[in-house]
Amino acid sequence: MSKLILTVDDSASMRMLLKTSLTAQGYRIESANDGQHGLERMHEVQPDLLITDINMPKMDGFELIEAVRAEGQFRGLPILVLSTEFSDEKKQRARSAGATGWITKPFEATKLGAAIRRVCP
Amino acid sequence: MSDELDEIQAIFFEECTEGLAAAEQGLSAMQTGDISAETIAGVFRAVHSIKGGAGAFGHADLTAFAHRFENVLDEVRGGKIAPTPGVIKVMLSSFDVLADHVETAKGLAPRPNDAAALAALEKVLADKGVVEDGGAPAAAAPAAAPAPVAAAPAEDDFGFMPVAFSLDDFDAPAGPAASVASWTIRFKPSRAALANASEPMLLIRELETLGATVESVDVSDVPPLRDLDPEDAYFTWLLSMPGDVPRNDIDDCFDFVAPDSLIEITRNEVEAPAPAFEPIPAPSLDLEPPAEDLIPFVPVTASIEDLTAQVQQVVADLAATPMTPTPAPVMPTESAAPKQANEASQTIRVDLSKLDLLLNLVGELVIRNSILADRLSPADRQRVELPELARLTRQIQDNVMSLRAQPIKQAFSRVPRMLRDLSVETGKQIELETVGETTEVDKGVIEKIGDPLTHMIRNAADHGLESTEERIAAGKSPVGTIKLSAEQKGARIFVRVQDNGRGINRERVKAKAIEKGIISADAVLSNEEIDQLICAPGFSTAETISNISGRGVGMDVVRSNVEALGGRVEIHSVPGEGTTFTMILPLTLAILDGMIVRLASQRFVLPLAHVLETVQPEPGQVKRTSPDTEVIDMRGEYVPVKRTTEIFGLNDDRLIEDSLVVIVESEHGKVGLVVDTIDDRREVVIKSLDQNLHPIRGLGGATILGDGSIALILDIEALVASANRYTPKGLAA
Repeated sequence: MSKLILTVDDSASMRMLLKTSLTAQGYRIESANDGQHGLERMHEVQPDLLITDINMPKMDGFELIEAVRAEGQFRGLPILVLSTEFSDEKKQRARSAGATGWITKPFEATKLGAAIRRVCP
Repeated sequence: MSDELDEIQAIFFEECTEGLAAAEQGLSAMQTGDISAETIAGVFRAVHSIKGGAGAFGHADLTAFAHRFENVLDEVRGGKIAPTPGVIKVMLSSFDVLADHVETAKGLAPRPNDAAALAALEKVLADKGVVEDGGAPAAAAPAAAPAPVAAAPAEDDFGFMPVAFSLDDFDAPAGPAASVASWTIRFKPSRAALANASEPMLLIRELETLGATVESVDVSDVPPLRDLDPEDAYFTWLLSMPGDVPRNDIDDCFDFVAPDSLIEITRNEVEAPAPAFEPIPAPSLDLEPPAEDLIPFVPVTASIEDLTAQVQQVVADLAATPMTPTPAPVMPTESAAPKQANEASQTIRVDLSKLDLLLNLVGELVIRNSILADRLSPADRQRVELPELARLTRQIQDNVMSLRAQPIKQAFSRVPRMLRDLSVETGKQIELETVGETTEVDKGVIEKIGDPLTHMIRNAADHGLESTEERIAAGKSPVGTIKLSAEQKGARIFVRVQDNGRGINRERVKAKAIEKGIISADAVLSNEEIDQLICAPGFSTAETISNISGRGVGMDVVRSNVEALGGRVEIHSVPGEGTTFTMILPLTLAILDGMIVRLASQRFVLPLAHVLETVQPEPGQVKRTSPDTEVIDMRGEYVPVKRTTEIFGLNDDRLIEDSLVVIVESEHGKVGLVVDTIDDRREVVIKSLDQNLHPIRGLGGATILGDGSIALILDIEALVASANRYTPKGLAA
């Protein structure tokens, strides 16, 4: 069975881009449209990897990651954050929230795949 | 692909429109004094999203402008720039320019002149918001400021602009020294990195693909067991890396785990300290040449070689299709070119007929495997490593199968649109719920379920769901729900169309069936049997032929389509609560794990997925409960017994005590099938019967056995279903 990825982004076009790109690379994709929705879907979907945007209404990406990490069952889950830029400060913020790594938007399909393979066998 | 991207881009433009509206609303609110954090964050988010999407679709001007705008908004959001009326005014005029940029990106307008707005934004940033309230932003930016901005379009501070490949420092050591130079890397992941689910082995593997070798792992930090913290890291890896690998590439591998992990990268210019590795000889696969008398069936072996050669040929053809190399440890040299080649697309498009040919050949290979297994003694099988060959064949087969698997979403994708149209046509409010659309199914199956699915959905919307008034009168939500789901259970795919409508009106269905002569007037039918009548040929209950599902095609066509795929349709209905139609489809159309049994001296294949156990009945264990019903006592559970021979009209005068009973299970429950003997368990390649013969219920196809003879494959689902219910016209009719 191919790996299941939950993508969380408030932009439908970004969700579709991720889905198109990742489906083509053999992943199965489920998605959610904000942090809160993402947290709910986590339990339902039980993904192998979580990819989340940072800036979202209701609950932002960092809050989502912290909430996910706080749950014992998701402690070993690889998590990637998406953003248009990653300063050292932002990387540190992502790390302290519990992110495993990051992907800079806009992404090329190969870069995206490489980042995923870096955290998810 | 480009169509798909165009579609997504259209959605992005819709989002831009929404984002611009949200930003405008927020800015207007700010203008009238609402400078709450929430309002400011809303504006920021809208502009930020536009920037993100624009970048993805390559609208550089829009991205660049949105980025500058966002910078100011970020400072306002962070409290570093006060949202004075002057600043808000700059933002409002920037908003107008942003909207113009969106129009340009859509191709509807020429590129706007954004120099004045950019200058005003830069000035706000530079002055930290000290803008004369009276000064119009456009006027505040005379000739001087725009120049540098326009000249250097953003490359400098854009983290997401393509990063120019760097050739500085260590990247490309020239001259002969390069061949001996190397990197030494020490790496110990931090506890924090592990807590964030970083997997050191993935990192090591990535370094290895760049050419690194692990020299040693220092385990001296590992404490005694009682002090060992399972969540901490104790290993330190020491790796060596060829010197021509750019430092940036190595650093990049560590991006996620820096800075708190121990990472030391040192360069050894002259001496390569790599230890001499003993080349490990590849394990020899050569077999002892077998003695002639042990393997007398040379033709079979030869045909395996043949097949292997053919498979190799197809695989070679596939590889010959223009594609990029797999990410093998290709070492980037002095230019960026090989690196780019390495990063290009990792997917290839393949003509489906090539996959089909491959699948067919692998099927034949499976059969040859069976033949070999048949002809060799157990000792010889081991001797020629037949189990290994079988395992490899199985892996090839699984892989080829997965190449053909596609998410069932493709079949589901046209449903939402169809339901919107149906909603308009019927005046019913319909909500669609989709579950499991990522379930993967053989492409052939997906292509063929489109029509049955369409008809099932139409049927549910038209007949299943009540009108809004009826629903309200029945105390239900005015909005009807149709749930479309797919799931895989064992080797079967279950596709369900479930409505929460009125359920099947059994009185009417039965009356209609009698009227149409499908059943006799005095037939006694269970609820389930009545429901199944909907799929009987020539049946249609709609009192008035509706525009939607009454087009001369009934559910019987759905059933025959699904059965042609080796599947079945099931109907489950609860009056007042709704109806569920389930298509049960095979995961693959090609191969089956089966038990070979004998019935009246003919051989049949029982799909192993359905077999629970086998019993030799004791005298008295099989009891007759009615003139034509027998049951077998299985540890207190009574399971109906079916004499399989009767089903196909074969002569069988054996006593049940001389036979074996195979207990099989399906969705319909358990049944004991009486067989003479059980010969073997084996994988068989399904050969379809319906191209040559009329479909026979109870038979799922045929196969070629190891000795070259033909055996029929039993369709357990249909057999059990028929054993457990009355069938109006008998099974084999």
